Amino acid sequence: MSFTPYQIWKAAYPELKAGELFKIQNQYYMIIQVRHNRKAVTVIGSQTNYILALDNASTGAGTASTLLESMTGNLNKNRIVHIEYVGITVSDTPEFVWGTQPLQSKDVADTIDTNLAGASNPIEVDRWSYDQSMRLLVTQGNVTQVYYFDIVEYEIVAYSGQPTQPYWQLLSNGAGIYVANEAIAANIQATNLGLPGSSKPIPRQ
Amino acid sequence: MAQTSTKPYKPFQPQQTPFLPESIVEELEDNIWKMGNLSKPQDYTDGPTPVRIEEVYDVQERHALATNKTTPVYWDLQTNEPKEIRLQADGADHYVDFNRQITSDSPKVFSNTNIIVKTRGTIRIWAKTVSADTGTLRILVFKR
Repeated sequence: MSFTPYQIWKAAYPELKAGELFKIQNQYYMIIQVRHNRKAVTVIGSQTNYILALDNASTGAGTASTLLESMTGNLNKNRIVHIEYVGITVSDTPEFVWGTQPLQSKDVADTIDTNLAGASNPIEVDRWSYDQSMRLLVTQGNVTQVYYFDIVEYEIVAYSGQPTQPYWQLLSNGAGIYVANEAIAANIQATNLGLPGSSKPIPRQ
Repeated sequence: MAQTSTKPYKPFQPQQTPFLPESIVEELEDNIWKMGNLSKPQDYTDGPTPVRIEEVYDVQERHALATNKTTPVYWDLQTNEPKEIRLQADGADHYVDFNRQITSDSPKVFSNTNIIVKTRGTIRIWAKTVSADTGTLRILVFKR
């Protein structure tokens, strides 16, 4: 029996489109462009907590740090990044860290391998980055590993208006949730019920 | 003869996506802050007591890095407001990084300068000196 639970690959995450809003802290940002990125990152040799971000200070080992800029967001450069999946092809047992904790378990530094997270069965990362400090780190053995990341990059601009639809709230630990204020939620409920004064009712099948 | 679909038009319905009330966000962020990503004790026993930043400081949190501190030490900063954190070193070369323990092959060296990160939430600052060097490492926290 093959273990392939990833039938919902790429469908499990929300597809945010241009015009939708992020909210970070108390500031709204409007999406103006969405770029889907599948990125191969090569890391050479034994590494401990190798930073997968622009500020990687390592030299002579693996990917040049400038190529890693798209692995993190940067509000000063109008960029928010969602790292969705990662898969590997080279036999090894790398482990990831997000912030200061292991990615896959809070208390155990679990590893992945080509069976658990092969390129055709990638494992979910599901972390949002809007700052260079929100980044992945990887520890690996003495191999030349290629990490295949599935990333969605959002180009955003600060938005001074108020949302009329649910928006995507990004949290400081890299999580993201859909949020609606009371007025939006009430309008949605009224709309679905087709009440007077609400938005145009949604046709029912 | 062309087929005619009998299926009624169904417009895009983004509001069908489950969402949470706005009132939950502040509590959620507060719980993230309380839990932190830094709750696990480390093996190093000479790390100073974690620092919790509860107010907005103009300039705050100065920490001295003792002589010959070749074993990495760290400070945890936890902030629920976006802050600009600057690390400044006097006198000696220091190895400093955010959220990553300093190892001999991955230093970030600076002297008489500063590095800046803008963040909120939790952050661990690792530091060590080169052998026999001494100096003061100052952590300056600004409101963003």
